[in-house]
Amino acid sequence: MNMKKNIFFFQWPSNLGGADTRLKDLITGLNKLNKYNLYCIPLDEFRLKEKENVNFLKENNVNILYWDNLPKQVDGYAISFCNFRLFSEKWRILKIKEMGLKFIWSNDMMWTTPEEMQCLNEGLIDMYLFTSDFHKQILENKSPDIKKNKSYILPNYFNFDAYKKIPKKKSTDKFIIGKVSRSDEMKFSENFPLFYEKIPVKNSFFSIMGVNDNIKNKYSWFDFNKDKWELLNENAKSSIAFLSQLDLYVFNANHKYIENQSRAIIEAQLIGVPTVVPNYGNFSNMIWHGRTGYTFDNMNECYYYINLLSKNKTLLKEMSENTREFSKKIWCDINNQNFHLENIFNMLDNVE
Amino acid sequence: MKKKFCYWSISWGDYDHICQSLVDSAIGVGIEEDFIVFSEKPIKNCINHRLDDSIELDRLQFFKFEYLKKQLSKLDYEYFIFIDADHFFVRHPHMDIDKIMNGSPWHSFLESPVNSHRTKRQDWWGIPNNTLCSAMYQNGVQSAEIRNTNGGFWICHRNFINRASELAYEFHNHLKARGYTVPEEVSIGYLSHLMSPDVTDRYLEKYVNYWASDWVGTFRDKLPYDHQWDYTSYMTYEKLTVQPAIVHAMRSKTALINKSK
Repeated sequence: MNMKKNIFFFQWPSNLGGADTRLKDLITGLNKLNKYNLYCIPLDEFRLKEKENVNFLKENNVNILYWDNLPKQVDGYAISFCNFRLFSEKWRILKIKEMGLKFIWSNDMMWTTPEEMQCLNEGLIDMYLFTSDFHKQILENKSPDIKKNKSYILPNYFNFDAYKKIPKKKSTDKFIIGKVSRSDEMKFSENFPLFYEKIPVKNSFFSIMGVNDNIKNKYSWFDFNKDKWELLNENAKSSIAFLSQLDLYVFNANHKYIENQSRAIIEAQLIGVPTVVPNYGNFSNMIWHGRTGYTFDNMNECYYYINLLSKNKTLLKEMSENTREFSKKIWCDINNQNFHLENIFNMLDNVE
Repeated sequence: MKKKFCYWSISWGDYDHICQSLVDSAIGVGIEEDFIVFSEKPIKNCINHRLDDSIELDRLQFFKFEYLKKQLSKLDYEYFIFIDADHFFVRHPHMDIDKIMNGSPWHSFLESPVNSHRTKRQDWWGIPNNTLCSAMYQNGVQSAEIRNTNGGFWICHRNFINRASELAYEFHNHLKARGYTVPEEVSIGYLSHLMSPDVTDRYLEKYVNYWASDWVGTFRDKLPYDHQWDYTSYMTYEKLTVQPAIVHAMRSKTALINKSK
């Protein structure tokens, strides 16, 4: 008799975007535990033609279903990260509930949507997940209705084995500084090109992935010199290939944007790239200042730390090793992630 | 073909006379760049346009951003140098605009620290120093030192015009929501901090041969001339020896009117 619990992921894994990569890593981890029957349901049927993702799911013993062939009634849990179409196309969330599944929703963003809140108030979300205490505070402040619901803090999980640094193809005397994000203006400070250009490191080279035409147009007042800059489209390379070439991950976002649990920063750390980021949002909970990277309070500090790391290769190497080790302990423990998941399931099943 | 930069100004009433003196002083020292003036009465020796009736000449002087967006953005220059009418050229500035901008799309001279142990004044435009600093930091400024600026002289890259205006209004509205309704000058200072990660690029003391503001009246009721004088820092009252080519002759208005009348 199969006593495994059923988990239905109403989301599709991919290498692009925090939520989809989060799912991918979680599936890998849960498959290793061999405790659950895993199912994956994409929103759009064309996803079933994505060979790489389909193969990934098969290799990890995930059953692929589509909305037409979902079971009518089934015991188990539905999980989705950041998939807001479940609410804007309301028949989807209604279908999940009609199946008898307990719906666990992780918003993953720093904002909520009206449709999401409407579904919450109608009791269609059984468990509301936050990724950090910081995330919980921000969202509960913005949308107090969340407080009425069952909630839980489930941090991101990372599959450590997937984050292996790819050796650089050729050696360079350039000190490569960069960042990766989705192509969103909010991920770029108003002074974005100058923020990097003014870094006081003579042999610096800037590599930025996640730039689109809107972003290039916004900063058209700046002359991006090809000898110093590489601007890549979103997903131009795998994040691992991109991050592997960096000596230092330096990030600064638009002041209107609050960063919570940036997967890109954790991925950089897992690859062993130290990070320098502003001291705001949730960064101080992701970076051990002075050990795995630096958080800065002003530009003087920012440039001081970058300069320090560029000049002191021993410190850079030590920090690189620290950051990989530290992130592995914090973010890559599948038993800890599973402990949290079991807590969530127990709360939903009213098991004390 | 795109020209590197132009000067531009706006005037009406008595300021038309003042502006004529400004333009004449620029021509007199050999300025060859285009000088564009929007004025009530005709101004000679420049590219002169009538005031745009659709733009309100508001008390807080945000009309400067409206002209920038509506009138200047149509013109083919890389940079636009706004200069208040009550300026006076005492010699050719030989302005190396690329050096001044140093990559930034925005410039005004940042004059005097509001959050230093040297600061003597408690506020700028009625905004307590701490409140001003908090507002700057909340709106993306990341420099440790915050300074006041003078809104009479600033430079904008043509591809930054719309964003500059949006940011200026956003900062203005942020302060207004907290009970401080202040002129455009404060937003101009905000932009200089925000758009210069190395904020020292905007510090006045680097440019004492280009520009300074005679707000204490060294040339009171006289026309400025090419002469070394002591500039007084607005927030600290410290003295700085300057010999600028362009003087913001705020206390010389009568002399400027009489010169062109």
